[in-house]
Amino acid sequence: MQRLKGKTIAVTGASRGLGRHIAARARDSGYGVIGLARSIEPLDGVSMIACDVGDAQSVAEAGRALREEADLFALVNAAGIASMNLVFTTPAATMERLVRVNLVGTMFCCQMAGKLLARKGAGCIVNFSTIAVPLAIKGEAVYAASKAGVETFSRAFAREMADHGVTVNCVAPGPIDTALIAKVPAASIDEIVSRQIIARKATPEDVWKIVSLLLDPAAESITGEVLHVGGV
Amino acid sequence: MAEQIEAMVKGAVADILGGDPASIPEDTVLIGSNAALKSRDLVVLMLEIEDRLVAGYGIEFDWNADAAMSGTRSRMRTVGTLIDFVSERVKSAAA
Repeated sequence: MQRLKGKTIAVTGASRGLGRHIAARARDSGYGVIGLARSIEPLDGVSMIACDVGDAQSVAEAGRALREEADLFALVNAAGIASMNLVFTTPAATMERLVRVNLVGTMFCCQMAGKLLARKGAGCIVNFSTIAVPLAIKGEAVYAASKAGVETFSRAFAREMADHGVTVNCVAPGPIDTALIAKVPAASIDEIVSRQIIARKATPEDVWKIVSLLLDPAAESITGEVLHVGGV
Repeated sequence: MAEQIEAMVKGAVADILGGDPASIPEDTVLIGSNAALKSRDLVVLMLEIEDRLVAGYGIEFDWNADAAMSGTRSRMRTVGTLIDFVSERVKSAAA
């Protein structure tokens, strides 16, 4: 595969799950890929930078490294955590960590990469939400709230970045077979999937296909949107 | 050093507004309804100052460390207050 000129993507959460799949598929599609991850798991053809997205200093340090990447044109914020619990049984530390990684981490990375892309006057940011937001799924109140924050942040940030030729969108998948939902009972997953328009569990490849659409120059006028994988 | 910072900030403003940097008045309003810059230009100015500080002084400038955009008290409300703000930050970074 010939490398796409001037097309390097930074992918957070690139050591595992959805982020790793997106990093690998982007690489396979000819993009240069820089993975950001708290614990680095090597991936062929992908440069890795240690980064805890929930730590402002760590994100700033990653930003210094990305600043050297002249071809950076997109950020895919795939880092995220989940914890399915009733609100009454969710520990305070878990609530704070969900919001810290999913929402604040997305904000930190958008702030960091947004500056780099604004300097270029073009680019693309893809954040991650979940269908748990529109479905308001019982047992996912804190997780869904953190992702609802990501959606609102993304829509407003899209307006800021439009001045600089950068699009900002959200991809919102339903349940996918990754470690993120490994502890969720199968019956609960089936119930969620049944509420999607396309009532089957999405795959990481389904998500990559939507991300790749947003990375395509043809999507330059799509911004401030939330794309639900499988529909809701 | 103070004169260099002043020239740097005025140069960055002049790049956006046009004209001679030396002729940029320090009371030029940067934020608010009477601002000379549009919001997009203000971001461009911030990024340009960041870049010039890195290139000229090796200083990484963190706008987030101050309530830089908080209305009338903002350190960016005029060219003059921005020069003072950048000068203070450069001094503290050099100390």
